[in-house]
Amino acid sequence: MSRTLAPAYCVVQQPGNLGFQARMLFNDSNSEAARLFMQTNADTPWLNPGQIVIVADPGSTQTMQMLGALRQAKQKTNTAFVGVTSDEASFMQQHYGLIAALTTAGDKVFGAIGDVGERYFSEIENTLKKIEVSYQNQFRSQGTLISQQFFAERNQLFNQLKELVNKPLLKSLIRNAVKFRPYEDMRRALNLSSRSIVHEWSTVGLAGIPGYSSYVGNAAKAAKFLKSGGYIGMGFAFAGTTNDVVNACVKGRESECKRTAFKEYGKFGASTLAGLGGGAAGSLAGLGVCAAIGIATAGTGAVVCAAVGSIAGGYVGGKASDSVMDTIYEYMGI
Amino acid sequence: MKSALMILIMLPLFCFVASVIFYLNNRARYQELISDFQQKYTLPTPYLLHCNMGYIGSPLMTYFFMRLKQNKKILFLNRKDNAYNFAHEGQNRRKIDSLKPLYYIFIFGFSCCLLLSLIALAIKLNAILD
Repeated sequence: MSRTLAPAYCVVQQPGNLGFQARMLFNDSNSEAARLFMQTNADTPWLNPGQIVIVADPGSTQTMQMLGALRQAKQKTNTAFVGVTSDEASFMQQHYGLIAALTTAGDKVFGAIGDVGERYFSEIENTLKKIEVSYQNQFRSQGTLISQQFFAERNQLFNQLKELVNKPLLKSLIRNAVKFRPYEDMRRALNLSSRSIVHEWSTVGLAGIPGYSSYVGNAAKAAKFLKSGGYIGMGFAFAGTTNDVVNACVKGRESECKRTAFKEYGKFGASTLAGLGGGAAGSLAGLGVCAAIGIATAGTGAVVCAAVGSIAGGYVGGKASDSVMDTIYEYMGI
Repeated sequence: MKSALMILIMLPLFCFVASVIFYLNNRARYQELISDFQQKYTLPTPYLLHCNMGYIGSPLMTYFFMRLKQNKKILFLNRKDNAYNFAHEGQNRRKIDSLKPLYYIFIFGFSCCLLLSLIALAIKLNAILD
């Protein structure tokens, strides 16, 4: 008797070839369902975490529309993984919800926000890009990050960013957690292993419905950003400090060289540590503020609160430390 | 006075360098501890964010595990949560102990920064009063 199970997809958990994925997915990798799986997914001989594979029931009458839509989504997801290493893909797959919440894909994830959300996240993205370009231009043209013009430009951009993240839109994010329901019928019918989580075909993200493939592209890019962004910031600060010291040592007297090294590295150490502490405290404070205004302390909205708090706390910590060190240096006459 | 201040200025830098070296040497153990915890329990939001941030997230994560070990209340983790038992399961206490130096390096470094802030505040107040 023929069944009527719609095709489904499964998000790859571990890197490996198609045969490996079949063994992970099916209790009996020689079953008819497993053979159909190998045939349907033959276009992707190697898979990274986060990519999707199609699981179909050989006993059901497949509708071409459903399979076609799944193939399209699969292709879209696979394209997003070009140039992403297994480690990055694995990190992205584990944390895609969190990463997506922090990126411009937010408007897609939080579909209910619609056009307003799209503009909001685009504005944040544009401001962040301007800040990045401003740093790059200044460093390329001047070799330092200390000119007044640069500070003025940076302050203006950070103020714009502050205005954006302070908008009450954040409050509405909590409503929009994306949930994927495991497709239990398919698991039972095809004797799939209990490790595998299979999703019904319509949740894959089609024709404007926010789903997995809709934001996987931006999330994959953000995985790199989230992991390395902080280190790049510290690297820039260290490079700027070293540049000042080298300049003083090349141009100035020996005493000037020592004085600048002491002053600048002391400032770098204090502001980095204060930034780290501020980031940790800001994350807790951000979540506390969100909890106070009615956003729950768990879920995607809460992650955004913690992240915004962390960035703001780190920034304030670093700036405050710079000001503290300037006051002390002035007092010491150096 | 000035010599003491000069030493105090350099201490955050030493703490920063020491914490980076210590983190790099113990990174595998640090990540294993986070992974062990996540296999059984769910990390509350701020810690979930910071556990993915490598060294940058380590101050908050070391605070989290040290508080777990001391069985003290952790921010955003309900006192009745089973996660408080984590430190007392298997070898977890020993693993958390290996992060102790990192935790105290951060505490010491942050205290130096705080002390410098208080000194700067005193200088400012003095200047205003004068």
